[in-house]
Amino acid sequence: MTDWLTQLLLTTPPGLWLAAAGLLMAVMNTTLRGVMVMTLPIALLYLIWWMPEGHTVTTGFAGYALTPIEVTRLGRVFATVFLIMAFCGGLYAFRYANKLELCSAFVYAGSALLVVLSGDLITLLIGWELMAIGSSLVIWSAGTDAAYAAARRYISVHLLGGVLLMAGVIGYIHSQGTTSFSAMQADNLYNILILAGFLVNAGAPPLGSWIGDAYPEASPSGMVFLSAFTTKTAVYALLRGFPGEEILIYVGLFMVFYGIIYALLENDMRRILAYSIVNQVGFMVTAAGIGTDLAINGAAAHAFCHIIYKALLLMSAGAVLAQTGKRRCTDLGGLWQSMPLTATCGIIGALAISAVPWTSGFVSKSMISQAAAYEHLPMVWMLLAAASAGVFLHAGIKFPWFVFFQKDSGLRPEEPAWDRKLAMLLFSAACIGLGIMPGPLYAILPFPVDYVPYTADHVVSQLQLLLFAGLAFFVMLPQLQRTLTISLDLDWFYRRLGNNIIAGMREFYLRTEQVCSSLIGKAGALSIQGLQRAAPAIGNLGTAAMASAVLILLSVYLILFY
Amino acid sequence: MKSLLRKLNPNRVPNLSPVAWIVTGIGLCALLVAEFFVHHHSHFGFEDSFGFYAWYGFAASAGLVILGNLLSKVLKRPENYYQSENDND
Repeated sequence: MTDWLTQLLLTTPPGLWLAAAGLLMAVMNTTLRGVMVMTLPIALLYLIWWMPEGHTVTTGFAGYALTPIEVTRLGRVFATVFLIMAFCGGLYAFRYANKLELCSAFVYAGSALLVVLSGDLITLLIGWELMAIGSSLVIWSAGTDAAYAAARRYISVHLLGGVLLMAGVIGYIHSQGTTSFSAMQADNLYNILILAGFLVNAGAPPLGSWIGDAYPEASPSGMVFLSAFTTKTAVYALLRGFPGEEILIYVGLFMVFYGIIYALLENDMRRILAYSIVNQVGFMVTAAGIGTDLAINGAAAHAFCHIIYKALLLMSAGAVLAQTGKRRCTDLGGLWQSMPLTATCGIIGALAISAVPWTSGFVSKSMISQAAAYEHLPMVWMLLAAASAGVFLHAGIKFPWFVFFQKDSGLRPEEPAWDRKLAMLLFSAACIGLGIMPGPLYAILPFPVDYVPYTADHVVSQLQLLLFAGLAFFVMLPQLQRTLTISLDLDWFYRRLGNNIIAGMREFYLRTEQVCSSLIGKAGALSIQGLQRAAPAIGNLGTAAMASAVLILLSVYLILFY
Repeated sequence: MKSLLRKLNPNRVPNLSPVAWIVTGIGLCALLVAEFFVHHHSHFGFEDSFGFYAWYGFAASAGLVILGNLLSKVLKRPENYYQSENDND
């Protein structure tokens, strides 16, 4: 390889290649676009592993020191799975998604890559904002009215999060005197603002309703892309910036149970999976709060496996949506007969998210519980264990049961085409492969791994937990019947209450304006009438006379008071 | 077992063949039997009691479903609850 090419490859942030390709794809023809989608992520995967660990590139910008490339072990785990996701998501999408969606998805993925492979806060901020734009366009590109509205709400929340982050970053840089992104504590205003900015993208309350609101409005392939990048980049940022920050444990646990409860109540199958994202990210946020080496390893491993099995679940749900046009559980059922492959892949994803032994979830999520145990946090451990049962309930059983089994809806959709089937099969293989052989995943985790997932104790305990939870599901099935409803979320405060307050204020203003102008009108009319009656002569004076009268008055005033 | 479940929720019990039910039943019992052969590595002192994970999994799931149903009384709204806001856009 020639020297200048090597230099170019080593000094250009990998994410920029992906984002630039996204922009160029807008002017490419379909074939070339397909080639780009299939080859670029793989090429970049090779590139980031060819770069040595610790490879750093610094530069200056407007007087600040930037580190646009910094290959850390933590960042590389995320970058790897992001590129795998870009490849498989692209395979799933490129024959169906419109040009805008594909291009913005690549810009989105590229900017996520920029964030996780950089070393300073300014590059992080740039990538963060680009992600907001890219992801909003992915939602918007679905083209429905609901998608437009959802994209507007989504970008509003994300730009707000970006403002919080920017305020914190600016303050941090000026008070600390450095731009580099290292672990910090939330003990001053700027750090708290940075934490808040990270948490908005993670989907934490109170500004986390956008996941359940906006993701399901995207196209089938769009939601596959969306599920991976924003939330997991936020997890990376939390792991690097705030490990051991205690409040994250509570925020994470809240997210875990919020996700389960809302998913249990939900009727829209993709909204169920969206709430499930919040639930799983909650596990990662809790792990960030615990902050030990094992916890960080667990969160990174969990993020890796989660991206893959959540994408698999969404691909399965997306195929159902694309083939039937239906998204509500009440409209679906019995699809196992005509879509056995989609159903099987969906079930594999469901088993993986439930952390069934020999799937990827089992070798990753359990590290987080183990970290809680080692830190002597019994309540946290108990809640995480209860949540594991809850995950099996809402994602492991509920999703496949209501979509593919349950009752015969009469629908007989066909399987999707070869590319979508291949994408699902690849990720299914990954879910099982990682579950059987976690070695390669453990090898790339930030810290050395001495955790052993497959002990008789652990396998038996997990199977007991899950299968008896499953028994509860079928015993309580009547309580789980779906209704044609949505569940109110914290966004009610600005979507309904805020709207009503502003509408009320507008009403008040209009009424007041009406009353005042009519009052002024009446007062004006009255005074003119009064004047005319009282002094008819004045009413008949000409302009010249009036002007001289004013002149006389002003002169008297001047003489008297000056 | 099947008839017991039928009594609890008629019309809802999945229509599986008897074989599937027997296999499920054997599986659940086998897991409990495995308790005798597996040594639990306990961190807190309570999670190595007999069949802890089994009853905890059942109780946690049932609890979550009940909690969900309670919250649904406050949180549920018809599907088109936010529709009027879309019309104003």
